[in-house]
Amino acid sequence: MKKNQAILITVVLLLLGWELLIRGLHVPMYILPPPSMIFLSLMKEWKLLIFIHLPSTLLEVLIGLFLAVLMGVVVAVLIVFSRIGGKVLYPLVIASQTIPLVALSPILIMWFGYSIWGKVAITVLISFFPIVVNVVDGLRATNEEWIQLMKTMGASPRQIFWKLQIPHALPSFFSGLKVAATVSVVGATIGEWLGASEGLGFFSRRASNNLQADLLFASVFLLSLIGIAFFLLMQWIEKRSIPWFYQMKKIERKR
Amino acid sequence: MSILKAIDITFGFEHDRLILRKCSFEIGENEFISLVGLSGCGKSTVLKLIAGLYPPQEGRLEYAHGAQLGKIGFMPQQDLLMPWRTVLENAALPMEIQGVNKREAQRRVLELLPIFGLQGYENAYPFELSGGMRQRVSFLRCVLTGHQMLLLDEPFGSLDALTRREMQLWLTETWQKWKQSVLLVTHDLDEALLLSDRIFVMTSPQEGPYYEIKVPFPKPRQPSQVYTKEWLDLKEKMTTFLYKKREIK
Repeated sequence: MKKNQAILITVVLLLLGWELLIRGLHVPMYILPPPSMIFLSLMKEWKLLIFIHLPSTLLEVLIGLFLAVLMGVVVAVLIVFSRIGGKVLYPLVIASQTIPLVALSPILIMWFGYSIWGKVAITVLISFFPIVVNVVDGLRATNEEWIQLMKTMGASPRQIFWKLQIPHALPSFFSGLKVAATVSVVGATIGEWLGASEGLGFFSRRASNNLQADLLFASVFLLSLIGIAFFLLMQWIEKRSIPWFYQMKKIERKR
Repeated sequence: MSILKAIDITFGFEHDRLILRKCSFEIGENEFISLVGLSGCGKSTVLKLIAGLYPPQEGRLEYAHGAQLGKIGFMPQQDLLMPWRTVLENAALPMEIQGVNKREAQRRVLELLPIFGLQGYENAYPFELSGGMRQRVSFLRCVLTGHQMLLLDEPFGSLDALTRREMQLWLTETWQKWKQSVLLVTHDLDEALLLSDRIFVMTSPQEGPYYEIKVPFPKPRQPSQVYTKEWLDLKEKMTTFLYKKREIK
């Protein structure tokens, strides 16, 4: 509770300072609007934002994140367990992160048009990387002694995989998932900037073109709310999936 | 009846540094044997060799109960309990791998928990237990493999001196109940004398059969015996051999 109070007080003070600074220095609206103006425009346009643009961005994030998790885990397993996978796939995965997304947009528009799949593709491209890296690290961190112990019990490679390596990699997977959930919102927004007909990214781009800084900030505010919400959701799932990990950390901290 | 016969085993990780050369030994049914040696002489490797994790370079191992992986209970140096499993689930792991049904596996764990001083802890996680308790869970897991031969790799090595002695005494008392053969790796000579029927003293590298000591004291042994003359004589014999093997040869 104390932590939450501290966060609340900090945010309120920041907003207050922002408001006073803008009013005091007479900064023009199109450079930086005061929080009160952002709030007002949010109130004015809330129906449009909440019912049209928010759902379409949310859908892109959800589909993109789902596919990223699926692909990320499969690719990580291939990297760790197949000899060719480790040599060929890992460098490719890293290379995929060096592609400038803006350069990719004409190709994606050619492939997917203005449909949702172009945005999903960019979301996947951005958010599958932290999952791959973390799952690879998690799977590789399995102690050889542990594997040997399971072998003496007569365990098959499949049993070692499911009963040892997968649960052992779960905390690492969730670390990756939390990062992925947050950047997936960035991915969807970039996708919408590059070409879309709806969504919060599209809305913010239009506002920026019209020099409506208050509307731009209103949509950015909603976007960061989605990011935070997704992060918290993943953390909630994590705490329910691997409660032992949290208990262990708590006890280790006490010692 | 011997449960394991090692015949002329040669093994080493590096070509020029052998751990064993033409080493032979035999372990009988219901026999408790300790393997002592200085740190780094390859004691743990011998256990893994017997467990079937490494194939010997030369020579052969003959088992009374068939192929080794999945036929021998192995207790590693660290407890290696899985932090995502409770005591009950950890102890049931070997049976789970063998395909024993879950309820039956849990019944067998619960039956043995009191003997191992773990009653009431079945739903605790390993990180909630003390080092001694974790080691007992690890030992219980080893026993529950149900195999006739158990390999224990310095099971009490990570414990403080008092807890270690407590565990050794507990083991001497409970041991009588089981009919398994044990090969225990240790560098604690008192532990070896307290628990074993025979002691193998290992040198580095081990050439030919082990220098072997038969422990003449009846079991179970008392901790006060550690200070008797016969005990100290045996200890001196082993110590001399460990540190000055050339003179003895």
